[in-house]
Amino acid sequence: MLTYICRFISLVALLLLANPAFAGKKSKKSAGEEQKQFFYGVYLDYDLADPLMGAIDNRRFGMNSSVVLDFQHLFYPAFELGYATYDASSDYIYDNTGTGTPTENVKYEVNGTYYKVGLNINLLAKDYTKKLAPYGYVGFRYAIAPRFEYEISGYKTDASLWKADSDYIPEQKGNTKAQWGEFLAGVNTPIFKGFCMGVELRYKGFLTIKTVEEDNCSINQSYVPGYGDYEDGTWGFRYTISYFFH
Amino acid sequence: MQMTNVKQRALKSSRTFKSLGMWLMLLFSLCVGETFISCENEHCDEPMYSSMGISCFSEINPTDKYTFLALSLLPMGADTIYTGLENGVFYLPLNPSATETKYVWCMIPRIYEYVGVSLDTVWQDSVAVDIKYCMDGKSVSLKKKERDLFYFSDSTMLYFYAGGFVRPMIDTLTISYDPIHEFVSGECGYRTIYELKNVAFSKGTGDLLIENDRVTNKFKENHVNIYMSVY
Repeated sequence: MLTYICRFISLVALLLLANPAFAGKKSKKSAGEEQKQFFYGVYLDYDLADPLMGAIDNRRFGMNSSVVLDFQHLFYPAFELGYATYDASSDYIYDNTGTGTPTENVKYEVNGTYYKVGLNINLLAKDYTKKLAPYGYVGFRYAIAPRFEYEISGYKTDASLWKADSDYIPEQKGNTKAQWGEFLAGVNTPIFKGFCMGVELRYKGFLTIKTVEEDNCSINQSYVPGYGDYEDGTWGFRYTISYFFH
Repeated sequence: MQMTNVKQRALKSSRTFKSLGMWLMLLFSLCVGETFISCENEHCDEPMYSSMGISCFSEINPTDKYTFLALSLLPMGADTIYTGLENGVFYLPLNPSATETKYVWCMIPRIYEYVGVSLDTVWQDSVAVDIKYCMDGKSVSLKKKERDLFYFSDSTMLYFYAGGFVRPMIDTLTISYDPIHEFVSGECGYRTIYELKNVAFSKGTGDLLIENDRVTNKFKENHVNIYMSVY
């Protein structure tokens, strides 16, 4: 964990210090203070990391897009919409049979839509003369996956001690809800006309997942669309391509 | 005029530098970002086993842990045997595919008598190759031995204690419960937790008290107290 925190801090520092606009902040005031506008425009972005991850791992598919408003080159309220589907089952598992022989053909699939709402704050020196300028920011998101679906089948109980008594647990299918928070840091820079590229690092936490109780089963999700794996999903990143409307 | 050109060139190179800087920064962050991609966790790191914790106390003085001369528990329908439980605190697995688990409770009572078992060593060329056991005038063969517990047949078990064979006191411990299968993750699958309903001895070896009716995967949690009658 400490390594990740160090990496995160180093990355944010590098992103900010490497930015020429940030470097110029100390020497001069923000340019064109008198031309400051209340509202500059809207960014519509698409996350390239999801398709990239999907290309690496064929059990995963996702898409994520967001709308970000630019108020005074300082506050950037954001709304995100995404969809993810993930086959989170292993090819086989040993651990719940205890027999040393794997349970094969297990299935755990999750899919659903998620929403995130939050705010970015630009930390760089502002150039008010330009509608579109690079910005480096920190921010937060409140995220919710209100009704994501799951399907679980092929798992057994561990009755290895009692021989031959291991039973398949009936297929579990349903939906549930998850909420979490995210802290983020990133940069966004124009690349061509209204098009911009951005990179963003996210730390996710405060995850709560509604447990589903059915018959004699209690279903806790270990994967949430938009969050990822319960254990491994703490850190995330986005590479975005966006267009600025003004 | 010449000065203006120089300024323009400087401005242009500065812009190029800024643009290049931005691109390098994005490229760099891309590389750093890749280091954050963690491999899919294919191993189950969660503790998956739920065992029922039992503490044994003396009925006369309920604050004192009961120390057994010897105690073995045999889950019915399984080949396993749990021995070495003399300190009176132990953890028993329950059958997740049933609503009841029975254990044969096998202990040496405080007041015990030796059973007449004679031993006859079989020699071959000055080497001991076997031991013959003779009980009640009949030759018996040893089927299995677990620590100090000798199995001469399915119904004849004797402890070897303090230099002789002792017939154990046998009872049946029946544990009734509702199993709840809890899905943990794709890698781990289900673990079973148990809601205890009843715990009883068939011959009243001790009084039982359910202290905590939820058996989970928590390490070294106590669920049942047994107050041993004086034997």
